[in-house]
Amino acid sequence: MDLLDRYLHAVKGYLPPAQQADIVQELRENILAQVEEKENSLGRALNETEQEALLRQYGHPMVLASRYGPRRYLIGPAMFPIYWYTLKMSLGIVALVCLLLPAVALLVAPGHAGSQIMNPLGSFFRVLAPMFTVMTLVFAGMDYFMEKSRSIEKWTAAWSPRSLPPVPSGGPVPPRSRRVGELIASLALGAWWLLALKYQFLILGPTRGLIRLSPVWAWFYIPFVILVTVGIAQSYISLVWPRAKASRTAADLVKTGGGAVVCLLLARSGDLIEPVVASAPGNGLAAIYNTGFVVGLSIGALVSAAQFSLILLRIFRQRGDGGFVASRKTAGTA
Amino acid sequence: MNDLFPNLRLELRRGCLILAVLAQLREEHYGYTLRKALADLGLEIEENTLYPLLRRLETQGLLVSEWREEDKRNKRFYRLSAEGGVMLKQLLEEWSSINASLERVLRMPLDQTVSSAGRS
Repeated sequence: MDLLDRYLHAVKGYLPPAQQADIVQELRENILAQVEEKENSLGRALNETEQEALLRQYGHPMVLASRYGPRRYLIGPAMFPIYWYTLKMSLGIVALVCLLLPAVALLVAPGHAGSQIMNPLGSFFRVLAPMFTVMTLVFAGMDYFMEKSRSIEKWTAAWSPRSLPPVPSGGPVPPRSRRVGELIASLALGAWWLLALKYQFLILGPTRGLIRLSPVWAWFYIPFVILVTVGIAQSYISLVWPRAKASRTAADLVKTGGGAVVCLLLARSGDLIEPVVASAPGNGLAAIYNTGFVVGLSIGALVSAAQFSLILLRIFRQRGDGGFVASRKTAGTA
Repeated sequence: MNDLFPNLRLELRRGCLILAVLAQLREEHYGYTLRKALADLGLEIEENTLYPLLRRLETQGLLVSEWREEDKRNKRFYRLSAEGGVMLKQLLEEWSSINASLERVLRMPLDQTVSSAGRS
């Protein structure tokens, strides 16, 4: 039977080497017994179409061989949710670091240090492929050894409700749609702000023909990039880990503290706006803008400093109130 | 919905097939005659399910096998091991218990079933 030989040869290729001969021999005998019985009932040899139909009952060689394997997955169901979660988080972080920030930097200041980073799209894919490969291999290895040592079973067998973390007491989490909206808003705001330093009409509007941003702003490019990045990262963390209070507070501290310093330094940097050419309308307009900027930035510095102080005060108060009784009260009111 | 039935049927049959195979192998068989014997009793099992299952049950120590010549051909004969016999007894008790419970559930009038579910 040419078809049988071809079929068994194909099955053999997918079987573990140590069992190939034994399994194929057994399959051959079972199939031949089936063929013999059918031929006896028909009173003739099976034609090729009938042989084909019989072998098709056994399924594709790969499917049949896979049923003999003890393990048919790379990452098992117990490990897969952790793997999938980690992969998604890493993808988001890589996209943020490799794609978004260099892209904004390239748009805003092509000659700036920020643009020296590799081509954003290229670097994204260069990082993505090894990250995916390494992560998959690590998780597959962990899953294999944990299954071998039955670590997951032992760990889950020793489980107790007492070992679970307390219910977070930070009040209700904002809806996902709102958190997505916040991320989009911070991305748009960050992109607008950084783009505005290059395309000044975004700030100055129709007056761009008369006035422009003074060179002082160039000194503040890197601090702006840092503040924008922290803002985007904070929105991203809020989206993914809505109860991650510590990172949100840290980001708030950087934003308000950094914002206060940048506002104060800008307010004390002299003229932030200058006329394109010295002329009465240009000079007058620049003077109005500069006064407005100084007042606005001073208020901004004061507000940011006040917010910074309030956050610090809240942190110290929380530390002072810490302890078992306080945590029980908080848990009780949650 | 069309895909759901074959999947649920497969899940339902999986445990029952093991039970049937163990029970049938109280008497010695090789792969093909075992399949035929079960089919004659109304339990059709696909070849690509039954033959690997025999190997797996043997690896688990529930079956023993030997190559032996019959009708001038070498065949691998399987039968229940001592451990398999104990396992079969336990599984049959479990199956009887599940079956009896299911019978009671199915005999219960629908309105009573709904009110019991509401109380729990």
